[in-house]
Amino acid sequence: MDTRLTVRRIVIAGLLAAITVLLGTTQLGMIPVPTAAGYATIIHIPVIIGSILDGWLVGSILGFIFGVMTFITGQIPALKDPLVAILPRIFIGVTAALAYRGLRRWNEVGAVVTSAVVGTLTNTILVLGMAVLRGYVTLPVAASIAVVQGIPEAVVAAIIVGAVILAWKGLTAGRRKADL
Amino acid sequence: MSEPLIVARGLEHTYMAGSPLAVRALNGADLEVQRGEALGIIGPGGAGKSTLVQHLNGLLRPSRRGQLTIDGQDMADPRTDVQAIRRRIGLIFQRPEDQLFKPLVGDDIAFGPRQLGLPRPEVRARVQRAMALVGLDFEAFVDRPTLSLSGGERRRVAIAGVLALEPEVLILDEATSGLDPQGRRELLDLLRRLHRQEGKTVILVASYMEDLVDLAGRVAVLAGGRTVVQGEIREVLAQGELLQRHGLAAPEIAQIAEALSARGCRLSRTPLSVQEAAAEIAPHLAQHPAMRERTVSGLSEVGDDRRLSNDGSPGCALGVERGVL
Amino acid sequence: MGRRVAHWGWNVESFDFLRHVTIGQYIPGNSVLHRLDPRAKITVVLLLGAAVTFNGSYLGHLTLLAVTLGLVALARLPLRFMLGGLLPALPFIALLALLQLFFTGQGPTTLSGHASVSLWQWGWLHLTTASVQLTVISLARLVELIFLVSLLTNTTPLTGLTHGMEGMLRPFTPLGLPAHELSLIGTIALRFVPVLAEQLESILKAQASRGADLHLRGRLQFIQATRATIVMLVPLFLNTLLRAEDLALAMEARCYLGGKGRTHYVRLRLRNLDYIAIVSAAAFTAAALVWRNVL
Repeated sequence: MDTRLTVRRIVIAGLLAAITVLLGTTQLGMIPVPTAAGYATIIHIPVIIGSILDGWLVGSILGFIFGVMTFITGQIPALKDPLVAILPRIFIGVTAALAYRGLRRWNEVGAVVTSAVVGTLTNTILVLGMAVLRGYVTLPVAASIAVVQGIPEAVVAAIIVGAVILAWKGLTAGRRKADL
Repeated sequence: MSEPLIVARGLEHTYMAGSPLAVRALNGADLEVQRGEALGIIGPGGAGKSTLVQHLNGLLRPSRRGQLTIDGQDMADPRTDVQAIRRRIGLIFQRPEDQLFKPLVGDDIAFGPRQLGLPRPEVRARVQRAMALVGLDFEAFVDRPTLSLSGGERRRVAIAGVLALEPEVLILDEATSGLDPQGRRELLDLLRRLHRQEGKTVILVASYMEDLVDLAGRVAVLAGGRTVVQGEIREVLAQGELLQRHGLAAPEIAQIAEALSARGCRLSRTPLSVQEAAAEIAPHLAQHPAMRERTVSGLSEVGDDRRLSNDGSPGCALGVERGVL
Repeated sequence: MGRRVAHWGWNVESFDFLRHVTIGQYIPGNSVLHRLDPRAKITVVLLLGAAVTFNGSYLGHLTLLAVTLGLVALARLPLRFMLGGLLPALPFIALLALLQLFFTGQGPTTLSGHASVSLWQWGWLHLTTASVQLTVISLARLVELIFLVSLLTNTTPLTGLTHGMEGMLRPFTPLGLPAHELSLIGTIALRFVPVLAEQLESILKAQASRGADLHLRGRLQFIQATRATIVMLVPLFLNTLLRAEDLALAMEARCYLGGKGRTHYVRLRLRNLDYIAIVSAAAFTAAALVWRNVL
């Protein structure tokens, strides 16, 4: 079911990819955070949204495009390595879609939030992991980056993905009525 | 007359200045807006109308050479409190429904008032007033999911979102685009109400002169980034040749009046609606004996029961019969 | 590549920034590289990219640097332009290089398989020939890949790239790879970037006009930035999803039935020049891989 690339999926993938490009080439892709790096990335958010709405194949394609964007705009050695920049990102779509599908029956909102967190962590852990494997950073450094960057990024992703999906499906976290 | 609310002189604006794709949108635009008036801004595509009105709520700032004062405030001053300006001057863009982002209608309309930090009861009251103005039943719509509404309804929600800020001035940048004729009429009715009953200053940027006729008292014509003419609507519409030169057409009614004038039948003032035109032409027609009866019934068809006077010219009646009617 | 507008001073109120969005920055020209078929170029870049990624020797990268520089010259691309994007990242690169230099020396062998010799040690810091080689080669790879990617994007219009990619992936379609669909996704993405940028500008202005605060000040920038991002991105996503439905409907209404049996209006043809380029690149890459551990 998830593997059919229908017209609708092609179009959604293309448009979400366009947003990925927009985020990747302007300052909007980064949100200032009170961590050492100063910024948390949100460029992976269209990937997660695509995975939730249209399954793991669309998510993987978007993850691939996200990776290619990072590869092309990357100015540090680690990001110019396709195995670090592109390969791990393909899995964001897979894990996010799985998390959403798995938890959807339990609670829609919870599933969305968890999916966003899982997707973000996939990105952080797999990319850093590959960077360690390829020798760009040592394990302890990578681990500390993972925690320091990964947590704010997961939080931000959960909030934004939540806002989009909830608005799209006309749901609110619990409330059925406007807060007036 | 008191000090104008907004005065703009020689505004210039270039998008992407310094790059090979730079576009000079404004090249010396002037504007004067009086408190409480309804002003139309009209011009061909690319004339700079949007760019001009985006200066009026501080989205764009005057460049070195232009001047802009809003209620005495110099907009070129970096210390100007732009948020305060935006509370008083509301700007509605071309597809306002694109700005919706909250899951429920009521929350989206309440966004503006909440940003102002107003207390809950006041926020609710404002949302109710705004929804009433745009014709959305409060109980029926307030808890609906935003995206479950039709395009027209969503547009009304977006407009309500700006009205909830209760600005003194409302600027609409081509707000009728994409609406069907009924939608257009309803929106223009709303603007009339806002102007006449709520006393708001209304500025309407339009492509069709017809949108302006029962609303604007004064009109500014923009072309090539400059203000070509600013004045009372009838005076501006009468300048058919000037308008045509800048790629605009006066409403059909005004064109007919001008054609009549060219044939020796001058009407006392430029008509803005079919009714007015009928009333203006009728006395002249009545001079022609064969036309008199038809004129009387024709007038009552258009809903005008003005009595026919005898101050028309026979020649005009003839000209009308032969050339125009 | 699309220049990132200043990271610092995250202040979205200067709305013009969205008009500067470009990808790849195609620079028109008539050099040898401009005239190559996009498929040939992609193949060459992929091959040389493999050479760069898998060769770990000093000699190898000296050669690779020379080769990529030569190609840049052949394409008549200004060097300054190519390296310009590196400038803001320099401090970061330097920092990472230092970390690599002093903290990755533990392994017994260098990148090219030779024994690692310890050069200097002090507590946690450990300078070895292995770490030196890793750092130098990483930097070399960075520059080479920047050149290679730029070579591709600066000399090929984006539509050429998607067309070329589709052509190259098409042979794999019977194996289950949806080449046509993937290339269509790429084409749609490229086509809509300017449209969405314009829409985003319009959303930004509308939200600012109804009181959304897009400025960042003070300590809680994180929260303000997240709020501002929601106000900007949620409408963008919603409108995009709505647009997707319309677009899909429009495509189906025009009898789009998928990629089976589809042909192109513009046909790509490989010519002698393309074959020469591919073969040379293949030979060179083979050499680079066979001799990847020389020095």
